[in-house]
Amino acid sequence: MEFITMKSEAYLDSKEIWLEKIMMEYGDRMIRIAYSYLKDWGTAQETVQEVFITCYNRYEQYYHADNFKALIYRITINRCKDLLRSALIKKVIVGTDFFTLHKTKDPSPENLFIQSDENAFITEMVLSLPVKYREAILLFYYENLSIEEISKMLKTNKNTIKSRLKRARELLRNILEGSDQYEK
Amino acid sequence: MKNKLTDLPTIMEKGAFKGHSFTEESKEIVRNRIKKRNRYLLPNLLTIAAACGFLGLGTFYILQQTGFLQADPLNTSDFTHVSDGDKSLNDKVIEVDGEAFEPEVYDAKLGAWASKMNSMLSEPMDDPKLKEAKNDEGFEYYLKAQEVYGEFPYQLIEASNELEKEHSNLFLLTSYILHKQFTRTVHLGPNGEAKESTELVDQWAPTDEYTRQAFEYMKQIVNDIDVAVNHNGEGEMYGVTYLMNGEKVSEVEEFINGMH
Repeated sequence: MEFITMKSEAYLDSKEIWLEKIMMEYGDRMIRIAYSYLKDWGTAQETVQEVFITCYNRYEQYYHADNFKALIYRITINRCKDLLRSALIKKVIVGTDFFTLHKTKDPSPENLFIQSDENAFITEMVLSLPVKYREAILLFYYENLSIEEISKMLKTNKNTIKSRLKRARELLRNILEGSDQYEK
Repeated sequence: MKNKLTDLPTIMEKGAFKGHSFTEESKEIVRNRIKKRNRYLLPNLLTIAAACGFLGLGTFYILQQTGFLQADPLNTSDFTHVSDGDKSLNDKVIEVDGEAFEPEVYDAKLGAWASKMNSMLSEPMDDPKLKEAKNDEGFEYYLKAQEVYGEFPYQLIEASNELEKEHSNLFLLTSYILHKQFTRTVHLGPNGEAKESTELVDQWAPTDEYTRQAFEYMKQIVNDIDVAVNHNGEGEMYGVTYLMNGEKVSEVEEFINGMH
């Protein structure tokens, strides 16, 4: 077992340097992606921590990945979706203020707007979309990924992604146009 | 509307995402968990192995006392198989009578992985990188080990204690093989830069016997998992897995413990 405890320092260093690099490069973006699914900053932090540990453990495999950004995003998204499916998250996250806010009987845009400024209002509207529309909007407009990249990342047909984007825009338009603060 | 969406990055940064980042505290948690994992990997494995040993002995004793155990369920016999040259240090293959085991239903993902990996390991590899490396033996082990470990269905580990143990042994063997590719090229790049520099293959250090044995055990574990999962335990096995209560598991673990 010597090899595990006495692995060459250079080797460990290279793994650790790579870990630091990817945490610095992707950490903030991933936290936001995770939050856009989980809507809880604490759970998002924990999820992204897990993703980085997975990356470290699979260093030999991931280090040479052709498109590491797409890979790490996909891992994060899959992990978030797994969490959303799990019973735990239903108990922990669905009970948070954010969900309560959007699950009130009268979630009118006006009510929300009163509570927040313009940017917060729009982001909350985006985040209140159903997951499949929300991820399409965020990956396309926020992450600036192409339809093809999103299609590969989510393993979903390109036309489906296009339809989801169109539907998401319609939903947002309906919400925003419902608010007096926005012009058509 | 489209303008609002085009400005979404700015809007999100100023809105819900404002002031939130992957914190230093989170980074420190990642670093500490990795350090802890590296430090306790061996003790944990040994503890699990010891606990399993005690449990196994206890169960055996109880079954024997209560009369449930009438005879040794493993009817083993030795026979010689065709070895691949000098690579195999273990020419004896244990044939296990399939009727001794309760057929168990395994996840299809595990079956698919085992079948694919078993074929991949027993056939010459068709990889351009390997050709560039003039079919270097150690590099072939390295590429194959990457596939075995990389494609393992990790999500199933929690569901099965045995699978977790197979995974631990496979992890240690594959990590060792990957590490050895690093050590045999370290003189050409101190940070592993030459691990896949196939143009320098003539300068790579030769593959050692320990790496060959690690590869052989990895191959045997995959074979036994394939037989256990895809063939109801009926077929040629090496007795190196927990899934089939293999009697050579301790030999493999002894080898793992001595890897350097």
